Amino acid sequence: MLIRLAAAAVLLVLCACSGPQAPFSPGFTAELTPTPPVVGRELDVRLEVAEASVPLLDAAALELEGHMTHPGMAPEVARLVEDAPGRYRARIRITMAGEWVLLVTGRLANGRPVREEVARATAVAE
Amino acid sequence: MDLLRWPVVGPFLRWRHARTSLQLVLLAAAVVIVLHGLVGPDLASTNLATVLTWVHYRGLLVVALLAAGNLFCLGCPLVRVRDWGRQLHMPRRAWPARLRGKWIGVALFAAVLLTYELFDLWALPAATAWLVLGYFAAAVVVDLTFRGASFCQYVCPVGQFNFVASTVSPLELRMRDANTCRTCRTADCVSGRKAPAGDTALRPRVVQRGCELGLFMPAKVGNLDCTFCLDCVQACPHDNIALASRVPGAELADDRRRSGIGRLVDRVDLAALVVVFSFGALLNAFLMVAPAQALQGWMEHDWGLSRASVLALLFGAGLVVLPFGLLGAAAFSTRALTGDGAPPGLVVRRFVMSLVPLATGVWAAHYGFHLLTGLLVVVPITQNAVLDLTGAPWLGWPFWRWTGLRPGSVFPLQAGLVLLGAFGSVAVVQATAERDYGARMWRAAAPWLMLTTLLAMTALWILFQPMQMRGMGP
Repeated sequence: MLIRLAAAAVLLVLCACSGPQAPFSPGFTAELTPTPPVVGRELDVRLEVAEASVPLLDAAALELEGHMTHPGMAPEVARLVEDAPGRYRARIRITMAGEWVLLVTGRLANGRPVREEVARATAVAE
Repeated sequence: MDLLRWPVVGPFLRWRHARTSLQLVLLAAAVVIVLHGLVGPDLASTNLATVLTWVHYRGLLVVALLAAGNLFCLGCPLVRVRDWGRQLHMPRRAWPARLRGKWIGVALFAAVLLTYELFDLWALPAATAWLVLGYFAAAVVVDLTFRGASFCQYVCPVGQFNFVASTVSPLELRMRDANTCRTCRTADCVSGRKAPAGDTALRPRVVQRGCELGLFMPAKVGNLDCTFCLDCVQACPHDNIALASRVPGAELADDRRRSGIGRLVDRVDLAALVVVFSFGALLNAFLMVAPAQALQGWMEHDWGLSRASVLALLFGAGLVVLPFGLLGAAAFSTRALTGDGAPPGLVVRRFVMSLVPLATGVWAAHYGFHLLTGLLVVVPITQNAVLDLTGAPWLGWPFWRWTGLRPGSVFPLQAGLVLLGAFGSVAVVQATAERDYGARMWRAAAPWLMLTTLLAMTALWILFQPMQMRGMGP
């Protein structure tokens, strides 16, 4: 029984380690307003992407996810809006004081996943 | 009411493999936690290791304790792995006599609370996975070295938490009929059921183990040290053990001598465990609110202390200095008001158990908050894990909107749990004072009722504060 369990665990690790496609990081720079983020207010996130990545991206397939570092807290998700080629914008609501991590996630046209951490910020109470 | 005689539930619990099946479910969860913690995303709120361990496991554990009993010790996967290990190596040594007691468990319980804060464990999936692996390794090493349930009884900090909280659980294992136990000559509930005579030569083989924690059913009182493992139910040849309902918390004012434990007032280590359990509940919740963050920041900047030093000071104050001062003051007041000549330490040990219901209410309010506000996040995180693993949304794209209740909506439930706990503590104070002081009961109880009120108000004040999720993680 122990050997079977160990074999299953090794198999799962191998499956996990050999993931199909590594996520693509387009190289975003982010500007947050207000800084620091304030609880109860919307956080305006302006994103600019490296020039080489511009043709690969479709704003409609990208989202901004705001996660707290503490597990179990509700993430905030918003679709990216393209202001100009290579410039995007999204607004999320800051619901609690503490540490927030902002991710851009989605897909490229070829199906490759996009995942990039674009900012970290400590939200404060108003 | 005896759950072992209920339809469906009763036959399941009496089934020989009931415990194993529950253990396998939790073992599967532990495997998922370790694998995702080690190879999954670094961000704690998107990793099953941190979410399942720090949100669901802790929350469900408290819910189970309040709704039924010590179900997570019943289904503990560490014991399953240990039992597999014991098929290869059966330990012969007894746990050292001088280490018997709760001091190691108390120290580890306090250490877990401190390291959780110091290293931001909630924010570290890989560290959480290693912690789980370390826990398994420690349990296996201890229990392959020493016989019985040494790890559960003397070491496991989660087990100590469960033992204390289970004193306010609504169910307990107890004998059905005292006369049956009185006439029993084999005591299988504690020594185990042996193979029929003639099966082996001199030393009969145990075919069903009895209580590994040495709780002899006729002298068992309450849930302390009971892992709900049901070994006694399986071993009793007279079918004389019930999983029965009872008044939660009543055992805290019961000073009879207990099998495997003795009298509660004689156990300084148990009093220390209750102190860490009770004041740790307040401290653990306090460190999540904005004033605690401000206090820590002020101590770091104005006093020039490191974060570790600040936390060491806060834990020293919260788990040692403050309890010593408050419990000492209450004990001296009781002595002064009643003319009781008992040593202050004895007065503390008489009344300290009354803190348990309130403290359990605080733990439930805290962990219940995380559970209810994050109950459904396991769905999108699992979807995301499958997406990461396979590259295809086999379970659909992550439903990040699936979370749980809004934080503000949980407050009435949290306040209710704290108040319910406070009422329970008041009842235990009253019963203890009546037991030990007779006509002077109200004079004896007054300081402890004030202490209960003070701690309950502190807990409510903490709940009223804006939460601030601390720690930046990786």
